[in-house]
Amino acid sequence: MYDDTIVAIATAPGEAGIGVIRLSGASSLAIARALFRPSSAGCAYDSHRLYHGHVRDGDETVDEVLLAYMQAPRSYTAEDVVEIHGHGGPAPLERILHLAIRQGARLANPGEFTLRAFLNGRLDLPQAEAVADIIHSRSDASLRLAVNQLGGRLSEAVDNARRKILSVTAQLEANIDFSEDDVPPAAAEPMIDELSAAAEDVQRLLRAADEGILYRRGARVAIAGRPNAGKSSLLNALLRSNRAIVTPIAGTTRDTIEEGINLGGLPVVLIDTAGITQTQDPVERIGVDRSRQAIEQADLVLLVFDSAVGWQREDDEILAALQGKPVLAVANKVDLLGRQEGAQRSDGSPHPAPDRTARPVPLSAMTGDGLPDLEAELRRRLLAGGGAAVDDILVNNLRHKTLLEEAGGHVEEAIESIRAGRAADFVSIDLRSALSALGAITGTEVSESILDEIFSRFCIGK
Amino acid sequence: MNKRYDVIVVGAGHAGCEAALAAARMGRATLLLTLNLDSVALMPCNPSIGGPAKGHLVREIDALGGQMARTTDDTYIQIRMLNTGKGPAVQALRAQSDKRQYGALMRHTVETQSRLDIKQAEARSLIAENGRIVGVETSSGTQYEAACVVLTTGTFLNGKLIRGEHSEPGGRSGELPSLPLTDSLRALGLRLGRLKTGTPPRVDSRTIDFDAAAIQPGDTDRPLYFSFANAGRSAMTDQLPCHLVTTTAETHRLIRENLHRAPMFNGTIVGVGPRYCPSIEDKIVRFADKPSHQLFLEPEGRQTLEVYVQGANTSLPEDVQLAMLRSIPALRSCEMMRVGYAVEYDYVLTNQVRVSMETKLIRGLFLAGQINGTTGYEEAAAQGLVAGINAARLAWGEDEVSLPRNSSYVGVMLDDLCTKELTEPYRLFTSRAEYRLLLRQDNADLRLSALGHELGLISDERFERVEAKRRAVSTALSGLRSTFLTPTPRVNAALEEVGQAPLSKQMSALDLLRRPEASYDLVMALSSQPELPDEVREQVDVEAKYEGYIAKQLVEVERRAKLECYPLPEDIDYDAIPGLRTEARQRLKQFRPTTLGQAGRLYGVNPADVAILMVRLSKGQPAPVA
Repeated sequence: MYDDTIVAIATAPGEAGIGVIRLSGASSLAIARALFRPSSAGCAYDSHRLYHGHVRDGDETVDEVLLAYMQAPRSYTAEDVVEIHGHGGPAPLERILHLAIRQGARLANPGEFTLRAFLNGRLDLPQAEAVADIIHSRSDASLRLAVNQLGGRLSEAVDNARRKILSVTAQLEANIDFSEDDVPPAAAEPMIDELSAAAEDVQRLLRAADEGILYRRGARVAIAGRPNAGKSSLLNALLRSNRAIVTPIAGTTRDTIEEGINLGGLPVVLIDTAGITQTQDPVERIGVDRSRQAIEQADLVLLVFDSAVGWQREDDEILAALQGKPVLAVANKVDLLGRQEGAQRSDGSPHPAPDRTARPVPLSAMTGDGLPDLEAELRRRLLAGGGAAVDDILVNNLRHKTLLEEAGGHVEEAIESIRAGRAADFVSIDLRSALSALGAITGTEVSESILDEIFSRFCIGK
Repeated sequence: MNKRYDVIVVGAGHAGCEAALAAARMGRATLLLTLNLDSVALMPCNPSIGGPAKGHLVREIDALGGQMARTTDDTYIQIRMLNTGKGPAVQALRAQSDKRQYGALMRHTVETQSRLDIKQAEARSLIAENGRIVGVETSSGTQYEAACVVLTTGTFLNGKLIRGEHSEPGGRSGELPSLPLTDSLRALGLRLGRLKTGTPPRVDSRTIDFDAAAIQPGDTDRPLYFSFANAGRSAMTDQLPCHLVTTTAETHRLIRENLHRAPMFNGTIVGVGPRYCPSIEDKIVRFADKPSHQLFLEPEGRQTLEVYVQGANTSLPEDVQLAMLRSIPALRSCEMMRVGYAVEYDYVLTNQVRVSMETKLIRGLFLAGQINGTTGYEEAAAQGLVAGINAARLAWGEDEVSLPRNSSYVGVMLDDLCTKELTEPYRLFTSRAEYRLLLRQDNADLRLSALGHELGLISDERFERVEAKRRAVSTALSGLRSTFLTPTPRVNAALEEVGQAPLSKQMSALDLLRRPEASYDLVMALSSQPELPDEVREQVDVEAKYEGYIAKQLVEVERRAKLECYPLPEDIDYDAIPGLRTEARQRLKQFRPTTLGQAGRLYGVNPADVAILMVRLSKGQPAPVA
């Protein structure tokens, strides 16, 4: 299963100044030597040294490269690893890749280097998950988040809460197992204080968790509205302001258009829907179905209406069709009546936008007026008003979030048990469950840590 | 060779007596060898049995047909229920034993047991052929042949007694160690480690000023016994009290000034001592801020004036020990009868025995007690019982018996011994059990009697009593469930009279009993439930009040059942399983766990490794064999 040698291009695709091919496995060096002609005759392939040379395909020089050999276990995967740093663009890199495969390497599956690192004990679980996130992250902000986790900041934050819970558990357990020793009695108030602080630590991590998860997977925003309300121009306007990082999203359907933008670090996929009101035309109906599906999957819907003509009955129908989705109304075409007036008009009679749309954002997709306001509002709504600084977000993974919620629940139950005056044993049951949930994030064992804590804090030895 | 036995037990301490009695009671021809017939079932350290987790063990030993509970009940001089009010699962019985009577009664029990021979002789070497034990040779050259041997050497393996600047070979105070047996074990290929423990001085009770100490009486107002066979006995009223004193600033000063003479600190002692049983000098160094420490004065028996100074373990020189004791007001003019000392001894490193207590290396050789790195009379007795049972079964070609973690503290301990590397002598704590609420001392009979009965260690009559209790509990619970109370003035008046909230609507008698303060007596009075014997009432009350918590733990047991039952062949070649992390691979090779559950408990084996093993084994591929 893990005894062959894998190869992949380790750097992101694109026209970068440098590209890296990475090999991992027992035959890494043998395969690399078959491609590489060192420029100095005395090349000894010492571990962790850079060697200059050329990659050759027969007589032909493919690229001028630097080669580094990292001998097991002192490498990323803890296996023999060779990295070839090429200077060319995608074409030479692809060629080196193919040469390595021809020499017996296997093209790595996505994440397989990380998997090997994890299986070989180089990474703990949160670190491995974070590396996978770095690989898959779509923007700088999500990258920074992944880096925070990799640096052990998540483990540290979880450990903060864990230590508080452990301290209370040890106090209770010491009173149980060493009841005749000189252990101070477990008083309710200090325990509740300590546990409340732990619960707050957990809540702080959880508050930003939804944002973290959103940062990681990106948000989906559908643009809906009646024909000619300006959906497509809004899409283009939002894309234009993010020109530099526009990426086409694979799997674009014929009828809905998907484009990716970076919204202040938050990766967002915009979906231009074809329309969602009933139609007799069978072809159009397919488009309607696809649009409905897109809206179904969206985190938020931008409902565009024409402020020049005001909120119409058809706008009401579309709004009704959006059912429970969060909606942000956009009063487009304010350039046709002046910005202030547009906002007033959309809010005022005779055709006011309904309450559900909250305050519509006035803008002109044509002139770009109001666009920054929309972007700010969109981001605010997507992040549910959280707006935590990226550096404060440490949880971006559903597994961690679930475990934290579990731990938080157990701590709350324990607090309630203490308040209700329940016996120590029952409080302890909940605290041990909380510790084991947090331990599942950081990989810490429960019963030995309780004993360690007891013996370090209390003088036991009746 | 001499007479051939099914089982030979070496050592007649708490482990050895249980092992020998179990084997003989199972019908095996059994020999018990002891260095000294006058030290059978000796308590060389504290004169007490039980306490949290340990008391649980004693009740489990009893339910499995062991002896410790019965002998304790017949000889204790004080008994108390500890941890009342902290939850039903952590309540525990603790008895002060009459040391001499305990030993005498246990010796009598052993002597009068049919099929059991007891001889005073030093076992010098173990005789093994082709990886299988065949007998024991004594220092006089006599050889005894046996199918199985249970080794329970206590602190005698290469024992060394240390006090101040003085150290001498010894197994216990006044007794010589066993040196050749250590060599014999090494020759068989077993790897040994070294541990340390200590014991405090004993003082003459005539020289104690008890008026200057706080008295600690036993529970005389209700019947408290370890053995389920003694349910129905009346309360023991003739109990002796213990006393509590505390160390003074002067005590601490004396110890500090003499630390350079303490073997713990001057390098004489190399063995690792237990954190839960530190010497007084260790306490004063580690908890320097604490102005005083508790010491308990515990009588060692009715026919002796020796008083054990619990909490004053020490290996300081004799003169310092005396000065230190005399710095405590109640002991100001005390005389020591025995001096405290530390003892260092060899033990067999864990991971060399299986949960049956049989060594992996030598078929038919079983180990129990301190030789496995544990401390405590109760821990030793429980291992002795399991080793005796399994030696008896193997001698007759029967399968080994194992006890899972989720049904007994004995099982928790055996599993820990097979999955943990010891950094100190191992003692059981209730916090080591994952399913503490299921492993109560009050239900040990319900948990384990069936096994004891099946093994032939619990009589039909006693087993039938346990089953009758089980039925009575279940009948009472269904009666409570199907009886309803209505908020009549009579009912509510009765509730308010005992400070309980009145009913607002109809409620089942069971739901009323679920209220934390509601007693069965109250429910009985209000809903005409039948009178119940104490031990049935206790079960009904616990089952009713803690049903939710118990159900949660049962779900957890169920969830892990698959892993716990998933067998790992003991001869897997872990090097041939790709994907295991290096650390995990090393641990698995070192401990050779027998189930996936055990594998997951090894330090350094994480869920991903367990998943890899599971995938490997469930693919239907035979596991690679070394």
